[in-house]
Amino acid sequence: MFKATDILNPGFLDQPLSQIWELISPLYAVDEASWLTELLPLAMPNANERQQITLGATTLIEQVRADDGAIHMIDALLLEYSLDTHEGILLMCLAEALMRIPDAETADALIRDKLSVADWKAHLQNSDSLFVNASTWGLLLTGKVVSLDKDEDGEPSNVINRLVNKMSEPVIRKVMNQAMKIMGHQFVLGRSIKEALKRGRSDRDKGYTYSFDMLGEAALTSQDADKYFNDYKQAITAVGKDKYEGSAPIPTISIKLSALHPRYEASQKSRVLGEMSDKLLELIRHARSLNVGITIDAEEADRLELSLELFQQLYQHKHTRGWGELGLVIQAYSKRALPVLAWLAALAKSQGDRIPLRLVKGAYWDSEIKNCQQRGLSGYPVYTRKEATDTAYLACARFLLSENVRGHIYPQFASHNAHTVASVIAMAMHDEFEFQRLHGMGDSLYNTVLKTNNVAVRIYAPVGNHKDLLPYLVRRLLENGANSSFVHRLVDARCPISELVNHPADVLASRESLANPYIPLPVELFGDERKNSYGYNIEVDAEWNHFKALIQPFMKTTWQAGPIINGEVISIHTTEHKKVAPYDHNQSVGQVNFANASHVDLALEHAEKAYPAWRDTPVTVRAQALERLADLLEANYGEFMALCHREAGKTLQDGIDEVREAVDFCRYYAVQARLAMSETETLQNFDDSTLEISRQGRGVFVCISPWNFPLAIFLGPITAALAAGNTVIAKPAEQTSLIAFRAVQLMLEAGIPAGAIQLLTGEGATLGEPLTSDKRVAGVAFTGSTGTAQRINRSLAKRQAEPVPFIAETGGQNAMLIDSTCLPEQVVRDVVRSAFASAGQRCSALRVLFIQKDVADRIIPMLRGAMQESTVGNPEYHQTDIGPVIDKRAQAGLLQHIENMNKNASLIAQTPLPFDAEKGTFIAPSAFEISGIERLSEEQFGPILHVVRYKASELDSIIDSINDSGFGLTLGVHTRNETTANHIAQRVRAGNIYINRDQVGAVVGVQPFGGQGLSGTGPKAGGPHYLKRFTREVQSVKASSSQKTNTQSPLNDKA
Amino acid sequence: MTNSTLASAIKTAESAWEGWNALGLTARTKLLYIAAEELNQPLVNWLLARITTTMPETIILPGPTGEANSLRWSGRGLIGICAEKAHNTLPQEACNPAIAAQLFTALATGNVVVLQASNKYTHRLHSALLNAGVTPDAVQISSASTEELAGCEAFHAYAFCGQNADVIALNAQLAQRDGMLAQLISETDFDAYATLTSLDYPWRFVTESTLSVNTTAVGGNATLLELGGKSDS
Repeated sequence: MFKATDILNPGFLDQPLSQIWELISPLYAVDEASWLTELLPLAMPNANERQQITLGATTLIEQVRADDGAIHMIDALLLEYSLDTHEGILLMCLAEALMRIPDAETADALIRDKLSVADWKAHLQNSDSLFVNASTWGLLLTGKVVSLDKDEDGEPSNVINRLVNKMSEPVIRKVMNQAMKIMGHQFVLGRSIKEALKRGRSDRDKGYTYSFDMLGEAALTSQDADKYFNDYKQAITAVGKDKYEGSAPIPTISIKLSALHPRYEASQKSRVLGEMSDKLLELIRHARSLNVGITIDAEEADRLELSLELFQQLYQHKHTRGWGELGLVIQAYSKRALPVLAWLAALAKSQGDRIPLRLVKGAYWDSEIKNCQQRGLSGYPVYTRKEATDTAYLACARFLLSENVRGHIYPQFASHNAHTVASVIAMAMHDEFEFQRLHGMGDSLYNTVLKTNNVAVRIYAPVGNHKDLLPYLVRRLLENGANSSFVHRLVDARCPISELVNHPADVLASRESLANPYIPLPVELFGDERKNSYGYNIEVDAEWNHFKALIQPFMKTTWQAGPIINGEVISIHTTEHKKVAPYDHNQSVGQVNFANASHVDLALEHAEKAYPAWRDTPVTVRAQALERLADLLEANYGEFMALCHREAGKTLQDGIDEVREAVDFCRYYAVQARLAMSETETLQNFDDSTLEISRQGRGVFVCISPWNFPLAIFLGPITAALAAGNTVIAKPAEQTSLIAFRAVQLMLEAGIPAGAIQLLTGEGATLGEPLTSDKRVAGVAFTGSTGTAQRINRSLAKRQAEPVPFIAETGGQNAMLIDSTCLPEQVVRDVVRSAFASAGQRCSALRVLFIQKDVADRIIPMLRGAMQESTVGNPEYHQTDIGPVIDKRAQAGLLQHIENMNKNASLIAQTPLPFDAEKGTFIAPSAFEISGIERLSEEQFGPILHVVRYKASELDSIIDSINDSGFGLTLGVHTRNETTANHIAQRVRAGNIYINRDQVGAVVGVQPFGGQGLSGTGPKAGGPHYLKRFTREVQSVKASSSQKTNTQSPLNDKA
Repeated sequence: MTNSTLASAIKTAESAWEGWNALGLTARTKLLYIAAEELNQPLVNWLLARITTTMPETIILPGPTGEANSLRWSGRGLIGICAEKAHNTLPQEACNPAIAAQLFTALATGNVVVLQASNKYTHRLHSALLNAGVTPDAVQISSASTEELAGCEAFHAYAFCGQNADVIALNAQLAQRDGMLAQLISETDFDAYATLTSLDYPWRFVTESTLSVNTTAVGGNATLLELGGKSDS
């Protein structure tokens, strides 16, 4: 690991740039404690500094608290509406959504929803701030009416609910909208750059300058990116031509790269360094001509390395050389921040142009953590304690203020923490730096700093339409509104100053562990119960290079597979089938020998013979074998990735998700088996006898799996069946037999006895009937089409034998409902993923999107634009979003449907195909507008989305139409109205319901998966009841003592 | 019974499903206990108690911070409660409690039913439920034969009491239906009621639903932010 204190060595920046670059990526998710141990000496003050910092911070806080005007605007709001209250959260929800809702009906419903659950009354007159009491939320108005009404009903929330119902809704809406506008006015310096410049003059007169930020969501379409580009350009022009004549420095413009390109992602590097770089150079040239500095904002951790590469390209370009006003933002919460700063300083030193650098603590902390937890990554790219981030900030600040860096980097310290400010002042040996604060926050703190120090302060000021900015600003409020936030505590007089001036390095060093014990690592997400499967972050060089090296050796492999019966690979009487990659039929993947009907009998014979021994094997031994299998799958990650690409046409991320799900199934069912099968349950029977119930396997289970999840859904039912003590005959889809074969080889290696797992590769038409009509079969688990499920069911029923469990996961006609409270960007991102990821070949994939008509004209063009930006192609490549469909038969069916839709529906968009698409079986992702779900007779298992517009008043009839389809697998909902979400979730008969997110990617043990009606029988895979369906209950009854003398039947004799 | 009468009973019951299911387990069993009291069937009371104590309506599932996941269950929908033809070969005193148990379990778990009117006792069951205040539309009684019931695709499941041979025959008939795969929950052991007293029995009547909410959609993960600043020493 890189030794952090080396960074202060005089020669450090003279190393070759590439050498310093190499230090960055390995720190992406480095062990937190080890790295913080490195950083602490850099942050830790010496005795003099410590004294100076404590004194400086104490004085600042005292002055701020003595200032009558200190608590106002956002600070006051945060203090009153703390985020540990319902009201605080609901306020944010309302603020985030209300202004963008175009229709009155939905806006009123949202207000009603938020007001009905909160205790607003409790907040009235708690705050002295005019902003909170008079301007905010329109609640004073409602509050007064509430108090008049109080005798009638003591519950304030009910009163408000009634009030909202009783008062004219347009009046309430008007008041609330007005309140939102006032809030927007407080947070946003101006709706246009001209207004912002005008409003900023008074602060500039006080000595402040500005960095204007044309905030908004990330662009999803090139049209949106063009709009933001023009906004930035106009802003630069306006700032450059502003006639302000004061002495404050000229403002700069902050730009958000994700607003300037719809695919600002590591996977699209060539586009970023090509077309996006060109656009940026145009902005730079324009800004330079007007001498308006540009700062590139920081974004998510996955984009850090990409943004640095882009920055280097821009910085070294002839348009920029010699300017010294192209800056960027670095987040101190990133574990990579320190070497990044060193690299930038070395870059600046090598070119000789100063780099303005804003050091922030970081704005996406919570989403970074959640993202890593969801992806099962090795660790976090950010620190898990607040004081660790503060410590890292000070370590970075010390480096930036060091003599080595002076003149190369112009540090801009953005913080609202008085202690951080005092620390920077104490550490600085020169005055070539500035502070930055957010508009509307820290006013009093920096007014004091300006008065007492000769230092520049810049205000970071959002500019734009209030409705566009509120979602972003709500984030800021949430961050700063957390009770632990310094901003919150600074204005809270109950918090002693002595607590606020503790040095974060001291606080951190005093902790028992440097990492936060309350935030488990992604692999430890399930605690002691089981290990989480791990994934790789392919957006980060260090991880991607390592992962690529694991996959590469298998990219030319050709695999051989065939039936495995009693541990032997069978080749006699099999039929040879060549396998080619679905995306390139010239690429041979291997060969599979298909079994014939005679192999079925042999497999059944061995499976039946092996059953008693496996059933009687202790459950812990069976469970351990599955856990070894999970470890073996992870140990063979690279090979399975290559197989997923080459046999199943899966993209990189789909391959990772596939392996992870398979691993999770193994570990989850191992746990479930131990839980369900370790002990005998004793209960008192209805007749007072004692009932002892234990579970055991049922016998030979047949597991028939599909090609779309060739490892995960292949292994899911098999591992459940095995863990429960059954022996298994596995019949994988013929399209993905190679993956299944490798999985079975690993099962044998993991210690599953040869008799317990039989693999029959081959066609359903040949093997299905003999398998499912045999009386030796004790149960069937099947995933596939509804039609095939019915055929299997009939075959089982013909046996003249006791019915056996038939667990079927079948088709879907999955819908998503979005109302006008939704955030369009979020919706479109989730729709594109839900409908087109894995080329739409997921059981859960979105097929019918219902859009409330009031927002349809905003969302449909955005969807069209986003579809244009997707990349269809070879799934081996990082840049590919959507791969091929599985085979020619699937392709032909989908093409037929597209042809029908072209004749009978209106095409919204079609993603372009790659130039060499004819080499494989590709389908252009397509979206069509149709009149209703009734137009669709069957599921189209591919990248085809249907869109239906509906009126808000038609919601219930839309729900009826979804239910009437008979399918019930997944449902997506996007709404900010909880009442609406609950209503939909209550009424739609679907197995998996997802609110405000995409509707694919169910996680084992977290989102048990499965449908109802035509979509399946249950129980849910990856849920607590699934494994039990693979068991037989063994009962023994012990008569009660009274029964020994009383032989009378316990049953009612009156019937 | 004519087909149209059965169709009408099915339609009525289906229309009642949403309301009956939405009542919730507590409210449903409260009514069912009242009916059970009138019937004095220990097996029914025992099952109601088991359902209320072992079937939590919502199970909270683990997951990343900022996401709320829960597993809920509800009734499958419409269930046919039927028995071997006229109880020809089964002693009524043994079969009746099983029919009652199937009926009450189906209702307790949020289903609506068409109860086959196979003898006086089934009418008594019906009256007891209505007397107790169970939504009348949720409990339809019908003189349709098992074969007639089995031919209707509207049924999500059948709770059947009879002998093995009848179960096999009914299963074969159900498999011929188009549409959804019907569940067959059968009791053939009228001594120990092995099916009815099994741990998994009531679960056969329900369908599960997973609800996953992105609680950070509005823009921030307040829970996580609090954890980030949580003091531990």
